[in-house]
Amino acid sequence: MTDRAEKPRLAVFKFTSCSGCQLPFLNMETEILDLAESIEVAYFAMAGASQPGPYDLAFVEGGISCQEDARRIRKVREESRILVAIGNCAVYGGPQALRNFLPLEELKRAVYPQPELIHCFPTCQGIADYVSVDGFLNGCPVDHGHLQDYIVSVMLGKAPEVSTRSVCLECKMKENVCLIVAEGVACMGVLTGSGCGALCPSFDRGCYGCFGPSADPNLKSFANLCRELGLTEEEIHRKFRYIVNNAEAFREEAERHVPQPVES
Amino acid sequence: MVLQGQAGENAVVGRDAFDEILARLQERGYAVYGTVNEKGTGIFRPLGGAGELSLRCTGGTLPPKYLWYPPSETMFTYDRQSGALRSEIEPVKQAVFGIRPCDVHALLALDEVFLGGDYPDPYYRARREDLPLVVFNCVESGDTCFCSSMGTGPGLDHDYDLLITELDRPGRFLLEVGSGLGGELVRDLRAEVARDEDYQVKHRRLEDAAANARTTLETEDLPRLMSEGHGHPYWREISDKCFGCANCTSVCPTCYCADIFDETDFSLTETRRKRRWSWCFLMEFGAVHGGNFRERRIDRLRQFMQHKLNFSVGQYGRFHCVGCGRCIVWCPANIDIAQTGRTIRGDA
Amino acid sequence: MVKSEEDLRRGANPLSLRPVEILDVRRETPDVNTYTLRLVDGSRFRFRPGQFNMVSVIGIGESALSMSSDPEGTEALAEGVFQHTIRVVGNVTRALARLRAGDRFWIRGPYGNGWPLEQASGDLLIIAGGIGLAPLRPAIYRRLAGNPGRLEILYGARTPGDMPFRDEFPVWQEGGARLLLTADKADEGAEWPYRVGLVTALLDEVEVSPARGQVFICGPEGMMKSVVGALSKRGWPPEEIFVSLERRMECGQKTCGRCQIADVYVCQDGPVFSYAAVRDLLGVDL
Repeated sequence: MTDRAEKPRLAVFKFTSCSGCQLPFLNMETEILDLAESIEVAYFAMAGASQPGPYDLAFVEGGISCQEDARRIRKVREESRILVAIGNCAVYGGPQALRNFLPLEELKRAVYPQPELIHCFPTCQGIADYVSVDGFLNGCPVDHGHLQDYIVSVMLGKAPEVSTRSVCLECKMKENVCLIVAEGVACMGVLTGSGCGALCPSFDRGCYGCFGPSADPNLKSFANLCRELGLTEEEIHRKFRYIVNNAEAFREEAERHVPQPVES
Repeated sequence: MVLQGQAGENAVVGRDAFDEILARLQERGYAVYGTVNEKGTGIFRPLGGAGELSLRCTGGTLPPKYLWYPPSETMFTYDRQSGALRSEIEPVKQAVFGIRPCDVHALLALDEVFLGGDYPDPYYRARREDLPLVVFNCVESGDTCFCSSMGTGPGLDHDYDLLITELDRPGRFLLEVGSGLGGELVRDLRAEVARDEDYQVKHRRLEDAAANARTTLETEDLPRLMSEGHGHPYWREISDKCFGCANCTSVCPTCYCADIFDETDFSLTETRRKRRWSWCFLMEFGAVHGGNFRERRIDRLRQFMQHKLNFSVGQYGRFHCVGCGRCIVWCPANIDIAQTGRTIRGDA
Repeated sequence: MVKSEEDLRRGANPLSLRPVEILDVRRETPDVNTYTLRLVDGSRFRFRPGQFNMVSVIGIGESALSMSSDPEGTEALAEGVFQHTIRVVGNVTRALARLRAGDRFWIRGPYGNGWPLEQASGDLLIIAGGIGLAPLRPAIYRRLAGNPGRLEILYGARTPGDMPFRDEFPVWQEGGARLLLTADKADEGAEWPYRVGLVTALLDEVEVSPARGQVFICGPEGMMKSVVGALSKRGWPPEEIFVSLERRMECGQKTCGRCQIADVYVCQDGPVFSYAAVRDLLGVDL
């Protein structure tokens, strides 16, 4: 049962993103030696590996934001047997997908002194909008435990399973006191998939929804809760138009809470 | 008087006796857990001294269940090179100081689940067999407590090693010895003789606590009424609010559902077969090849409550709801199992 | 799990595993294999028709799978062998499909109650769909081995090519079974002298009468529901109809909670239930 075939070739690619989802690989301090023993890190720019394909398992960080991204992700797809989107940007488009909801030219002019030099798509999307994707690991950044499970599963020839647990369960296992119940904070943990270890609620900050919508998020009930807690429609809108703004469930919920134009 | 240290004995003691009892448990090698005031609620923690103990029950976040049924445990380890399986079941010595009657009833319910069949669960048994319980009777009901409805409190008269009831003057406690081990924990302790008046105070305080319960649920004929109420419109009403977050089940002292899964290290040298808590509220719980038996939130919510107030009676002859109220306290959507029971049976 | 005096004395860990060696892998259909197995310790694996094992490929996971062989057949008695017939649907079954003769995997069991063969003393009607024939095969062999009552087998699969045990069908017929086959669709150009359509369509041809027999059914739940419905209309009392249910299981010990349907645990109270016992559970959306 321990037939160890040739070491699988691993690749890590970056697209439009902050590079934060590559760090969990480098942070696997104790496991990294084991990892190097069982797999070949063939491409990982941040770690100095840049061998050509093909690759057995490619993790992709970052959204697709311009023509060059789109061309490159198609090439990565061709070269990779298993292609996995990691993190909010590769899965949903990332925080920068906020631009999807605003006119591009106006934004360029507001941000850059020479907007004519910027050549990008009007939207930033997850990679699945451009290529077929074999797996999705959410997070901002992705969880290193999820990454490890995924890699080990592939090595064992098993379809990886990603749990449908909510952030709430991570809070409960840490015996955090619920911020919604005790503090009246509109914490998004009830809508959000687990993986972060309830990082924000552990520091008394409501969940921002980094890991994206859970398996069956009750958005309507959450909006009602927000109203009961005194949030305005604009504030509810902003909760969903934030870090994970381009996941379908959050995107559509934001649209249901359109900020009213301020009368002048 | 001086306590002889025998089951059936009783006396009136002061809070200083708690220090002695705790010290004797620790001397005997038990890790002793009790509720400590923390984060504005009571949380079960390993106790250093008895002074840390909170005498007021706030329900807390997690029940002490994790001491005998941990959230995640390794059942055995498999060496992938040699093909050898290693199962290490070490007896665990833990004690709870200040467990409440509802949680003792929850423990007894889990005993039936894990130890009641032909093949007792050895992992549970290793944590359960040597588990001294110093029980605090409840002389007040919390807002969401309904133990008196479920027949699981506020007082306990069985399955304790020591039973402590606060009398009406602060710092005076009626101590009752329920077992030989309980006796050893108090032998030679100086104490006042318990008089009839002390017992009258105990009974009056427990009766008052029951009478003052602000949450109630009539259990007469409840399983049948819950079955008949399977299609009641109230299920829709609460499932529209429900987040499906599983907070309720994660704090339930009787929930026992689990996943069994394999975890392998990066070097592929060792696989650990693990068991961890799972809950009927999770989407993955009812998933099978080609479908899901409880895809809708209403089905998952109903499974939780029907199991507690109905199916458990068919399975084990007792409600797997002990009325601790934790699921009510920690529901971010304000869903209330007692209210649900009352509504389904037509009492509310 | 069936308890033996010895097991109880030892206080056996019901969740620990026993290794089995694969003696033979036989390809039944494109996605179904039959594994002939023997416990590595050489002891005979005892079970009742309709029971199941928790089968492990360690590292991949564990899956509830029925035994498919005659527990008291010649080979079982002489060499202690038994069989699992397994369709590839998930991680564990896919990993099993990669194994060959000489490889090992792990089991614990047997679990569950099995078919009530001792109760079925008169005629027996067996109705199977797809891979549902596998857990019924042990019951078929037990009936052929001794019972004088009539045995009728109704079997349907997606296509003729999806039917396991095809080369045994003539043996069953020679042994006295009346076998009625149907396929949802026949392969283009292939010779298929039997019916095309759902297994319920075969019910009109059944000769066993409700008054003097039992029915054992195993197949996809939708198929079982429609068969049970059709049998009820033909006058079969619910007490004489037995179905084998499938639910997700992690433990087989009534502790993981996964296989509960209302107050029933499929792993130990079943997997075989009389329709009378589960009629409400199957009808109601629990």
